[in-house]
Amino acid sequence: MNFKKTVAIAAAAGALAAISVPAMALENEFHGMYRLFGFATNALSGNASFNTSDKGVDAFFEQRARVQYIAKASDDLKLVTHFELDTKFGGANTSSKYINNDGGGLDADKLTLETKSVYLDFNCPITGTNVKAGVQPYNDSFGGLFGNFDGTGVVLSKKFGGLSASYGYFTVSQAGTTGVVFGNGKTAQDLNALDLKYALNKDLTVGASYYMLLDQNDAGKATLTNHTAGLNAAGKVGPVSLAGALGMQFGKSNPGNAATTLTFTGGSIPALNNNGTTAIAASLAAKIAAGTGSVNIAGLYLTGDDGAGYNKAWQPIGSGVTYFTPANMWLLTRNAATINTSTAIGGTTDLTRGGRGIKGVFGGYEGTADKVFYSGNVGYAAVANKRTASNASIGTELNATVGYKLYANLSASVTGAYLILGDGYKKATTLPGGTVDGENPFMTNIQLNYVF
Amino acid sequence: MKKIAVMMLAAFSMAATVPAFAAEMDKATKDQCLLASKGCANESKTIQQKIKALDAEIKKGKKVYSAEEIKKLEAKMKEAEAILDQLLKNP
Repeated sequence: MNFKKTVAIAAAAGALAAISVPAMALENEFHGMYRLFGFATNALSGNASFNTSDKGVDAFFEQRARVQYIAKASDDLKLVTHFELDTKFGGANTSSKYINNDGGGLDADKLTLETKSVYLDFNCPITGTNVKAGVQPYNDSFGGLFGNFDGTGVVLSKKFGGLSASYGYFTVSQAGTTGVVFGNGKTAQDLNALDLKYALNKDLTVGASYYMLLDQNDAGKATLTNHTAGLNAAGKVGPVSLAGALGMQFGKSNPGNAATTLTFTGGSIPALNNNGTTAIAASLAAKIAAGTGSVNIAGLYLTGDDGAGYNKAWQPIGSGVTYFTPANMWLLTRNAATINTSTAIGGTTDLTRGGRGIKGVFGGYEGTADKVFYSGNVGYAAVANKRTASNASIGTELNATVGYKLYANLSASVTGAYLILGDGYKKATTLPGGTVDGENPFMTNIQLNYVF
Repeated sequence: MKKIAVMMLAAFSMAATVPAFAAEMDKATKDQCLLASKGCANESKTIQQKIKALDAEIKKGKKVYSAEEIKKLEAKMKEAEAILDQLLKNP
């Protein structure tokens, strides 16, 4: 074989390689989860309400699947799509959380698919700024006290040495179906979110945040604003991991979340009104490594409103988007793993209890032993302002979970939770959603979790 | 010697780009993808596998990676952990 031939073979091989590895290769990432809940409870109705009267025990199932596809052109450019399929066994025809007439009925033939997120994520080659544009997940710097949500917006973030800065603009509600009213430009409720985080060293980060909520819905009125300013820190000292946040609100009121009623519909935020507001939120969560697991301790305080004068209630951006997951509760506050039907006592997904505020302390232990995982928690909570109720105490919850890893990405677990009602839910007049001399609520569930 | 080197290079570049073709050619080999859903050509990492793989690479440290590359791997780890959180937790 002469040299020309070998060159020809090499060229042919090279051409073949070029065909099989196109210049614009796309990395396809698929991820997802499936979760099944089977409940036996005297409290959760399966329809976003919470029973405290003596009506016996009921059982129901619900499931959630999430499917995520990421089209990654490079480390600097990708499209993220994430969908959710929630189904209540038997179908849920009335709950606002489920798609009306979901696929849970006989023969299934109904729509269940929901949008979770659809956004473009890229690094600007000119400025080095990361841009996320579209329907995307957003977590506040209060661990969910203001709002952890999926929303439509644009988030710009950039690092300057140890400083990480991000600015987000979200349109959180639209005024009716009229579209832009040319000439006044007031058709939307917007959120502007600024977050700064500075890493003092590898174990300690401090941060500051400012969220401005603008109501520009009503063309006949001035634009109203609600301000939320905050400080936060996260650090590690030996076996102890700590995270804390402090927030203050001022400006105009977000009355839907300061109302005297306990529940409100999900979706868009209510319009702001002209009442002034001053409110405070504080949270602290500690994780202390011990044995094969960790001791978890957490505390929470949100100011409440007494219903007179200016508003003193902490106001999240909307209902159903507030969380305090370090509590690890099921009945006192919503658990991070819940799907659609689970609510905390009062039938609410609202941490502020209709603007009454909340104060709570929570503690527990979680650990693993080979394929077994387990946890036990106890927590106490009361509303910060009882208004017309005779007592502020919500109650004390005890819960425990034991699970087993059937495969690397499939686990099965059982959970039991029991809430000893406080006087706020025992004595007349009760807190909203209560029954005088009500039955202590309990819940047991079996869970299957597949993640990939 | 030069010829052999060029031919070897050509052969390797073909082998690297069309492994499925090579596997089909081997009639004595069991197709583990069809038989046991293992080693499929289009197999992708689960989020747990991705986190585990990233963790293993980060632990190799500066013996293998530059400081800049470790930062990049750590950023990818944060991204993978965020994906896991988005899958498992509310909202």
